[in-house]
Amino acid sequence: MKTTFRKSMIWLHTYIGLLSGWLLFAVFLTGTLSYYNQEITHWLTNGKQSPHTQQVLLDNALHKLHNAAPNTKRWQISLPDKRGSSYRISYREDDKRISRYLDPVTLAFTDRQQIEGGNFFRTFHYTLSLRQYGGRYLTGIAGMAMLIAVFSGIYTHRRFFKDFFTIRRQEPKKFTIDLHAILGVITIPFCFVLCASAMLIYISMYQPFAISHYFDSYRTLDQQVSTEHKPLKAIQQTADKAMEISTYQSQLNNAFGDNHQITRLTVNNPLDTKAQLIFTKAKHEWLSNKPETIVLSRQGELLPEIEAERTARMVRRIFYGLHEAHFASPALRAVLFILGMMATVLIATGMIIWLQKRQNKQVTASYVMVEKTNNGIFYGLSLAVGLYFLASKLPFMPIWAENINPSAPPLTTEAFFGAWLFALVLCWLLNVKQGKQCLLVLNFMTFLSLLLSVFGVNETNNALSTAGHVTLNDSFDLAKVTINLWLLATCVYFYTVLKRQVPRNISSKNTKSRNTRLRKNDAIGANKDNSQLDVSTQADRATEQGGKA
Amino acid sequence: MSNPVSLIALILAILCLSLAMQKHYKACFNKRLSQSKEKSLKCLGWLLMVTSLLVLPPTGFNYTVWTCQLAVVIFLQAWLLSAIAARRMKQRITGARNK
Repeated sequence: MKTTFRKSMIWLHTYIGLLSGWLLFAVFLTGTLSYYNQEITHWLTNGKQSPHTQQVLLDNALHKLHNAAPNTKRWQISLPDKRGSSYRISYREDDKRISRYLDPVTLAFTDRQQIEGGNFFRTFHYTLSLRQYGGRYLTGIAGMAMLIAVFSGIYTHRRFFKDFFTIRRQEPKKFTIDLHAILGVITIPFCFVLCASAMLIYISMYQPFAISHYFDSYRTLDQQVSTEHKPLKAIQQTADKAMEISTYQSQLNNAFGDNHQITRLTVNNPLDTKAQLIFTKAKHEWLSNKPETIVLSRQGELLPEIEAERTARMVRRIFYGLHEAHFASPALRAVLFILGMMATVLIATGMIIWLQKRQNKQVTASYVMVEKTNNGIFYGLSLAVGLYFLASKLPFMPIWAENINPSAPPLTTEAFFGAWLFALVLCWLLNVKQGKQCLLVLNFMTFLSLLLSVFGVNETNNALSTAGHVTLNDSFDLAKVTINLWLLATCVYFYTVLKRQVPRNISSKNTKSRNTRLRKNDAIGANKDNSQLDVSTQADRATEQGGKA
Repeated sequence: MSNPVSLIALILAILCLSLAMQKHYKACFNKRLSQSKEKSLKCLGWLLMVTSLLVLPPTGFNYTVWTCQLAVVIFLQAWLLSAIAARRMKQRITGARNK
């Protein structure tokens, strides 16, 4: 192979990165977006925070279930929370699972269209929308490649400690390399945990042979290592009184504390006197993805807690929990989101460095191909995300509801893949610079219209409330504000990139104006001193911001 | 998000550790870093880092938050240092041009 260990590590880092870079970029970007899974759906559907207490919501749901599904074996209620998850009841009817959504404000059933929303990104990031065709194996390979790239990257980084806090902004090429290095170093724990946990989540798919050697199937293994609530036997005796949550409130306060939040209630044998209620507490400071539950009988007695699990299962659960980060508070969620974006930028800069290293050599077809595809994938994905948002948002805009049949399903996934493909083709057909500028303009326009759509929706809200309807509880909606802020950041970012791009082209024709501009920049100060940044370094930062939608 | 004492200690630790490096010290204060100063800055930095870990109640959640904070703080410090270095460079260039 190569002469020294370090050289072979560099070789490994380069080519494993190059081969899996585009796939990894897509996986990391959409995965990072799914930290805001619920918030995105909440934002897209223009959802509302509930003004009611949890007790009211639970009682209402129980009442609805009592009328809708009296003869079923199990009821499930999902409660809305600050992150904007939906208010939903579900039950089984003729072997078919039925989910119905409730309005958290009016407490009635809604026939409003349900969209995939943020969940699309979550599913896409591990199946690539190819669930039946081995999509999860592909992402598994990508995850493994990322692990290898992270560790071989440590050997590739020549001056790990000497360059620890160094970003040289003056020279574009060095800037990209420094950015790649520092992002790589600081996201080692993050990338390691994410990739390793991804391996563990689908360990039964990625490591099937050990399981099939000792057990018949994964299901038998699962039954041996995991524990669940023992169901109460129904005694076929219908209770005379409907359930009320106030009966259980003191027990709940004892178990979960006074200010607890409940996310889910499951009721087994709901009409029977031996009904069993399982309350699930909202995640907080609990890394494992195992739910914190208490089990009560209909009369409010505490039933035995779930049995402790085997250590192996617990380890997997903790990694699973870390991967999904349901425990994160809004601030930690933002930090995780930023870290995810850093990892995304790390991948993008890696691809750009590969190009830079070969810039001075003869420009071959493969070089141009990689450069064009880079632009197409990076900007194309941010454009696709933006258009997906627009397509999902449209049915909730007043213009759409008035003029177009509201029951027609929005073409959201079509918009996503169409835009991405369009961007790629555009990049391949045009020359590198044109394609890039085209995509930048499109990106900016998309995210700007998304931002503007926020104001449009707000106006109709005001109009509604002044028209004599219920005045809506205008409490501070953190979920929406977060998404709006990231959208704003994205817009500002694409604006600055475009602004830098346009005078750059003019000035290359006219060096005189460039010089005057330079002097002006000097006067303005250090903030704008990176106007001379290389186009490619802007590319990855743009993609960073692009994802922040 | 987490313990503010820990976060402040962490920020100060990163500040000390980065200033204990010759080139960053020079970019900030425009003079050489003496050997004794380097040593004391390094000691102080690591001490603060350990403190920021020790004041946390030992739970997995806290350590997860701490690791995330560490990454972001390092990046912000590097970004700040590079801004300072860039500004100094610019001053030097304009100074030379004015002469």
